[in-house]
Formats: sequence, structure tokens, C-alpha cells
Amino acid sequence: MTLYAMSDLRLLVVEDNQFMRTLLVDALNAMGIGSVDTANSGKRGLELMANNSYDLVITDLEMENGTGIDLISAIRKGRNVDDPLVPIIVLSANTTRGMITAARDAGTTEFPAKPVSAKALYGRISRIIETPRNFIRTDDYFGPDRRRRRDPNYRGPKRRKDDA
Amino acid sequence: MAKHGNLEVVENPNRIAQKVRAIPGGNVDALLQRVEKAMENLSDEFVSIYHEDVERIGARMSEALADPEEMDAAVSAIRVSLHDLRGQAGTFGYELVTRISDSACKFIDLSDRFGRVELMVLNMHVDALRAVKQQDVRGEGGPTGVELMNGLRAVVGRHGAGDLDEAKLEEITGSA
Repeated sequence: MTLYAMSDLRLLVVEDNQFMRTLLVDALNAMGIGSVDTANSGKRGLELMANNSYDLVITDLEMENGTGIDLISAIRKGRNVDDPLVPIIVLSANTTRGMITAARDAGTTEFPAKPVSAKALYGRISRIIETPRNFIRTDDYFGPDRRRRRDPNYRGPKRRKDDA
Repeated sequence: MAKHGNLEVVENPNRIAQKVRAIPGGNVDALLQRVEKAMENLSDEFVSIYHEDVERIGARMSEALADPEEMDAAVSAIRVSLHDLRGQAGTFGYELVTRISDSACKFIDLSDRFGRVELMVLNMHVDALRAVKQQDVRGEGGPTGVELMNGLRAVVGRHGAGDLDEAKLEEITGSA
């Protein structure tokens, strides 16, 4: 992994559990992140986003008063947010297939599961910096390209619209 | 931006990369150690929360077992505490606590119905948590942890037959 100086970054952490908020803020400060704002709900997170510009959003999913899915969907729809393409990391302990799919389809960028480790969190931030994905807009989706795998040896039929 | 029928590709300007600076030869391990230390500083606080959560879960389970009218509210409250535990415990070296709590949460979430039998299965998870807390089991718990999770997996598997489909069962027990 590459070491990055991140003192110019401004992050938003959306997490309803107070202890978890403290843990994340302390970890991000130790990484050298410039500033970290926090919100305890999706609704409060959107309020902050309406008035501030963030370089990265880290959000939980299960929250009262505005879930993480609500937040991600609103960001990607550009509702009162400065940048609908802002990278979004979901940090959730709920890793059921349904929840992961819902988060992905709402437009999540990265989904490392809780419990979080220093290496996993830094690794995902690094990946966002080093391998940005283009965004895809369709009738029912706007978010990072959900196709991660690039197989240069694939020899099967090509059915993607941009394969033409 | 490129359009392909009703699909549009929007180029990512990668603004975040423009605001960071790579440090050639920089020591990532040293950085990660600092971050881990910052997280470890919260260990004592986590242990207090963990103990309180297990007590609270135990108390609500007793309510649920004693009064069927209280079951739904009690199970909801139990799930909140279990969800917090599964998301935090592993960070502080209590991986077995995460696994038990995760199995319990998924069992609650993925069961099509939740009655007396399901409550018994949940109670076994709660008993496991109490035992792990009482013995201050760290990490995955070694052979005892393996035996415990195998036991919970067997209970979920036995109960799940006919009620939980194969995919859901695998999702719960795979985490166990």
C-alpha cells in the first residue's frame, strides 16, 4: 500500500452509535485526515451535505431517522448535495446478501464490513484514490460501475451495451 | 460522458485523488500502527459497553421467555444490542462475540416467522454470549469457540429445516 498525506481531505461520518462514531473519528484522525464531520442519522447527514463539501462519506446502514440506503440514494440523485459522485464507503455489520445488494444498487462505492480494522479502512480509502470507477446512469441506477472484474482472458459472448 | 442506448457512462473526475499526496517510500505500517493504537485506546470503554450489552440482552431475554406478550418488543431490543456487538467486538479482539452476535442477528432477520421455537434458538445464542463473557474469551475462542459455534450451527440447522430455505440457512450458518 502507498502512504498518502490526506490533510486536505474533509470527510463525513454518518453513524448512529456514539461509540462507533468516536472510534471512526479517532481512527481517521490518526490516519491524518484533515477534518471529519459527524452525523447521527441519514437525515442529519443530508443536512450537512447540503451546506458543506465533502471528499468522502462513510456511512452505516441501519439508522433511525434516515437509513444509510436513504442517504446514499439521495446523494446519487443529487438532492441538495454538492457532488453526487462523491465516494461513499458503507461500514455496516449487516452483511446479508439483501443488504449488500441494496447498498450496491443504491450507489455505494466500497463496502468493507464491520468490525472494522485499521488496515481494511485505510485499504478501501486507498482503493478509492487509486482505482476510481466511472459512473453508470440507467433508468433505475446511478452510481459507480458495479462491474469490478476485468478478465482479459474472457472468450465468451459479449452482451454489454458498450461492448459494441 | 458516453451514451449507449439508455445507458450513460459518466467519467469519474476522481477529485479525492487531487487532494491527497502520495509519499514515495512512506511507511504505511507505521501509519497503521498509529491508527490501531488510537483504536486500542478505546478498548476499556468497549469492554464496559460489551458487559452492559450482554446484561441487557440477558434481561430482555428473560422478559421474552416469561411473557409471550413481551416477545416482539424484547426481541427487537435484543437485536439492537446484538447488532452493536457484532459490529464492534471483533475490532477489540473479541471475534467470537462478533460471530455469535452475527449468527443471532441473521437468524432473527432471516426467519420467516418468530415464535417460541425461534426464541429458544435465540436464547441459546444469548447463553453462549453469557458464557463467553463470563470466561472472558478472546479471539475466536480456540477449540471451545469452534465447539460452541458448531453447536449453534447445528441448532440453527435443525430448526431451519423446512422453515428456512437452503440459501438463508447457508447465510446464517456460514457466518457461524
